[in-house]
Amino acid sequence: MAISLNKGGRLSLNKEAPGLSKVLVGLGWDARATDGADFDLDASAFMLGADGKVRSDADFIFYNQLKSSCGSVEHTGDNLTGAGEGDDEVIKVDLNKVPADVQKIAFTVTIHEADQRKQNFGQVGNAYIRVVNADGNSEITRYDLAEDASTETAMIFGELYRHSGEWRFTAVGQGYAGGLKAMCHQYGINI
Amino acid sequence: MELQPGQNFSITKHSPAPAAVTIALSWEPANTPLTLDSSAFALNAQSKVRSDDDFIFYNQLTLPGGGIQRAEDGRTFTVTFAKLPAGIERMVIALTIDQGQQRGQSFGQLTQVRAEIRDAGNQATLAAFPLTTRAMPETALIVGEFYLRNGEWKFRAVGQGFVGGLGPLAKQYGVDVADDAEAAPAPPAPPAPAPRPAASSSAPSAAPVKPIRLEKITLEKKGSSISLEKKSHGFDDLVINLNWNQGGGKGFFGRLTGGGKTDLDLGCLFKLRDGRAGAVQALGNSFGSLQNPPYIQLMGDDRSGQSAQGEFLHINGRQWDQLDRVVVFALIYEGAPNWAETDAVVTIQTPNQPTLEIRLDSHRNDQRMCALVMLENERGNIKVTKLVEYFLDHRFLDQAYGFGLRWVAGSKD
Repeated sequence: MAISLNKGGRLSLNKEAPGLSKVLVGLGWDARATDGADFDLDASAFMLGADGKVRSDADFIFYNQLKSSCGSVEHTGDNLTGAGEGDDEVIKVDLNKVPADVQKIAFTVTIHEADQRKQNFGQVGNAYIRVVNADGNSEITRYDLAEDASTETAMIFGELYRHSGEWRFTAVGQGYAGGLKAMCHQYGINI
Repeated sequence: MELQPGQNFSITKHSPAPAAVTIALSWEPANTPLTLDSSAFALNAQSKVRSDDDFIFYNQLTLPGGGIQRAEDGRTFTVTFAKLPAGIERMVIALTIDQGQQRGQSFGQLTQVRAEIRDAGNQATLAAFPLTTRAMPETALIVGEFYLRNGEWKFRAVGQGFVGGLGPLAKQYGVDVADDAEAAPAPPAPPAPAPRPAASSSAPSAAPVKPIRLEKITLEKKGSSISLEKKSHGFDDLVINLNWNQGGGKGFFGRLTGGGKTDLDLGCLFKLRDGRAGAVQALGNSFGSLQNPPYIQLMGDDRSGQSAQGEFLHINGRQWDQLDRVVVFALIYEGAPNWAETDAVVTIQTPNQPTLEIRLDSHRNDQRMCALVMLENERGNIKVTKLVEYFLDHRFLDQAYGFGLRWVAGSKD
C-alpha cells in the first residue's frame, strides 16, 4: 500500500519497492470548476549536482525539452487544463540511467501565466505528486499538496535523491512566488 | 490578517477557538445599483449538498439544526460549528447579482467585495478578505469557504465565480434549480382548510421534490396576485421590506437640487378575523406587536435614512389564521411628494416561499400615500396582490379598501 507523506516527509524507495529501476512521477490537479482562465500547471524536473544546481541547461526537463540528453528523465507531455482522470502530467525516470554526478532530481510544478491570470496554488484543487513503480504500476508514495499550498505560483512538490547508495523521495511542498522563472534561477538555469 | 485569493487560515487554531463565527459581506461602492444576494451551500465530503435544504438563501434563511444562519438582510452568515449536521464538511459563501446577466451587470461594476470573518462570541475579527473585483465578468462569486481539514475548521478566500450567475453556481454543488425563470410559480395546491391540529400522519416525503426556485417573483401589474401556500406547520414570519433610493437622487444634479431626501414611512392597515381593525405605523407610535394582536410589528422607523436597508414590517406567520387582511402602505410624511425619485421597491420574504418583489410605478406626485400591496387570508393561504394606488391620506385609503368605515362603525358598537 502506498505511503502518504506529509510536507517534509521522506522515505526510501528501494526499501518500499526492492529492485526498483524505473519510476513514474505523476502530478495531478483538478480542472477549474468556476469560470475564468483555466489552471495550466506545468510539471518540470531539474537534474541537480551535489551543489544543488543543474550541470547545464540540458538538465532542465520541461514542456519545451521533454527528454534529458542521457535519456534517463522523460516528460510525457503537457496537459493544459487538468481535465481527465488520473495523473495530468507524468515524468518517467530510469533510475539506473541517471548520471552518477546527478545527486537529486527536483520535481516542480508552476502555474502558467500565474501573474496575468492572477492565480496561485491556493486556488488549485487537489494537487498531488505520486511516485509509481513503472514495473507493475503500483503507487509507492503520494503527497497531497492541497493544504500546504497557498499564494505561491511555483512549488517544489518533491525530490528524488541519492542517499547511501539508494534512492529516496522527499515531499517538499516548498513554494515560491515568481513562477517557473524563479524556479529556474533557484537551480542555476539561465533564461 | 488580510487574505489573498487562495489563502487559508485555521479557525480552530485561533486562540481562543471560536464556537461560532460570522462572515460579514460588504462591497464598494455601497450604493451600487446592483442587487446583490448572498447564499451559503452546506456540502458533504463530495462537495455536494445532501438535499436542497442545504442551500441557504433569501427564501431559506437557516440550515436545519441551526448550524448556518443567514441574516435577513443577507449581509452576514453565522456558522455554529457544533450545530452542523454530521457529514457537512464544507460551507461555501457566495454573492450573486440578481438577474445580473440579463441586465448586463457583473462584479466588474464594483471595485471591491470584502468579507470579514469574526468570532461570533466576542466579535473579534479573525481575518478580512478584500477582493478587487474590477473587470470581473462573473455574476456569481464564491467569496470563500469554511472547511474541515484533519478535524480542524479552516477558511479559504476564494474569489472565483461564474459568469452565468447563481444557476451554474448552484448546479456545481448539486442543488436542483428551476432553470426556467419565466415559468410562473405553480398555483397553490388544493387549499388547506384553515387551522388543523398538527396530526402529521402524512409523511413528509409525500410531497414531490420540487426544484428550488431561485428567481424572485415580481408582481408586474396592478392587481396581479400570487398565493403563498400554507405549509403543514403554518407560515414562518413574513418580512415586508420597503427600500428606496436614499443615495441623494440621480447623480450630481440630483444632489445639487436637493434630491433624494424623500423619507418614506412604511405602515399597514389590518383587519383581524374577529373584526378588529387598526393601523401599524410610526405615526402615533403604533408599532404593533408580534406576540399579541395584531401580530404585526414595525421594526423601527428609519427617519434618519441611515439604514441602507429601508424599513421592515414583520408579520407573525404562525398567527396568520388570526388575520383577515392587511394593506401595506408607504407614506411621504415630510416634503413634497416625489415618488419617482424614491425608486421604491417592496419585497416580501418568508422562509421556504419565493421572494416577492413589487416596484412602485405609475407615480402620482399629488398624493403622499401609496397603498402597496394587499395580503389576504384566503382559506389559510396568503394571497398577495399588488396595489400601487395613490391616496391623499389615510382616510381615503381606508375608504378605498373598506377598513376605515367598518373600523369606525365597529367602534360605535
